[in-house]
This record gives sequence, structure tokens and C-alpha cells, in this order.
Amino acid sequence: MAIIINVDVMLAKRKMRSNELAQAIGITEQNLSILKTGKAKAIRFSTLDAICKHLECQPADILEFRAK
Amino acid sequence: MDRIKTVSHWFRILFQAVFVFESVILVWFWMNGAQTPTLWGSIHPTILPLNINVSIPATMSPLTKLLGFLVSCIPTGITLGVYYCLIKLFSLYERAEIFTATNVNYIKKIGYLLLASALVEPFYEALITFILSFHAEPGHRFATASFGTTNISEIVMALIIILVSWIMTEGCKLRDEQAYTV
Repeated sequence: MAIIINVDVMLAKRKMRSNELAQAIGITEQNLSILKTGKAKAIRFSTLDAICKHLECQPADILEFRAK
Repeated sequence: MDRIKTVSHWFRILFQAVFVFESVILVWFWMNGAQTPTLWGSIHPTILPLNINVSIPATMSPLTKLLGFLVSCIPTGITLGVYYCLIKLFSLYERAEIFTATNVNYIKKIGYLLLASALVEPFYEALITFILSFHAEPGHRFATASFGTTNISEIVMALIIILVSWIMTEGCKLRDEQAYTV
């Protein structure tokens, strides 16, 4: 897929751990790992909203389109 | 889940036993010919379809045995393929892998093998009757082929299994999409 997930980058910038973010936004660490490793096939707006709220960022900071 | 594993275990063993039995009976028949024990009065249906009316020669020439064996390998091979897929399928069920793409693939293969079996049967019938009647005098040799409601039923069953496996494949894709939606 050409959509790149940059959650790791934002976690590093905000000095937050994956398990902290997972707990804060109400998803399992496994689901967050699926998102981070690019295996996710879809993301709910509610999840994106929660991630952006807790990482204090824009969706564009998390999602990037890279044409192959 | 334990019940599924237990039942699957016994069915896997059953299919493994039948797999070996079919292989042995095929070789035994072509080595021993008419001395093969019959199943309820008729030769094993895998080797000789029940609707064929040809007498098995008491002694078969080595050439007849070889040709008969080689030709019989076609439908028996397909049947063994079905049993192999069933063994693999029930092995997966034993490991609690029930709704996976792998076992749906085996179900699809079973469907295609059953379809192949139904389509190959008339050709096999023609070949085996010709081979078995070849010992007769010229003018008394024959080959028969039939395609009736039994074959059509088998084809319909196979197509239904293929259709069900396709639906299960699509179901697995939907399930994966759900599982990978964050």
C-alpha cells in the first residue's frame, strides 16, 4: 500500500511509548502494532481523531502518501 | 474446541487409512486380477465403475495388467488427491485452524478434484473396458462410455463445493479486513 504510517515518528517526537498511546486512545497494543507496521487495511476516524488528540498533531503528520 | 479436535483427529486417521487402503487395493487388483476380494459382490468401484458390464479375465496378460494399472491410476490418483486434501484439512481442524485461507484452499481443491473425477469417468470407462476386452477375439472387443444422471449429480455437487469455497474465501477476506481495521 502507498499510505505510510508515521506514528513511530510522532511517538518519538512526543517522547511517548506505544503502550501509553494505546492505553490513552483505547485500542490494544496489538492493534497499534498493526498500525505501526503498515499491516492495517483501514483506520477509523475515531481512532485517527484520538491519536491526533493525544499526540497533538495533524492527520498529515501521521499519514503520508508515497507513490510507488 | 476439544470436541472439534477429537472428531477431526479420528477423521484424519480414517482418511489416512482409506488413502493407504485405496493404494493397496489398486496394486493388489492389477497383480491378482479376478482373485481380488469383492466389495459386496462387485469389484472396488474406484477400479471398475459399478455400471460397467465386462467380465474380468481369470488371467490377465502382463501387458493388460500394466495398461490397466496405468489407466486406473488416473481416477484413483484423483481420489487419492481428495483424501490427501481431506487429511490436510482435518489436520488443520485438529490444530484449531478452522476459518483460515489455507483450509478454504483445500476445500476448493476437493471441489476441483471431484469435478475432474466426474469429467474423467467416461474416458476412463472407455479405456478400461477396451483394455479388459482386448483379450477377446476380434469382433468381440469393445469400449463403452456413459454419461448419465450420476455424473451430472457429481458435477453439480463439485460445483457447489467450489462455490461454497469461493464464498468462504471472500468471507476470510472480509474477516481479515475487519481484523486489520484499527
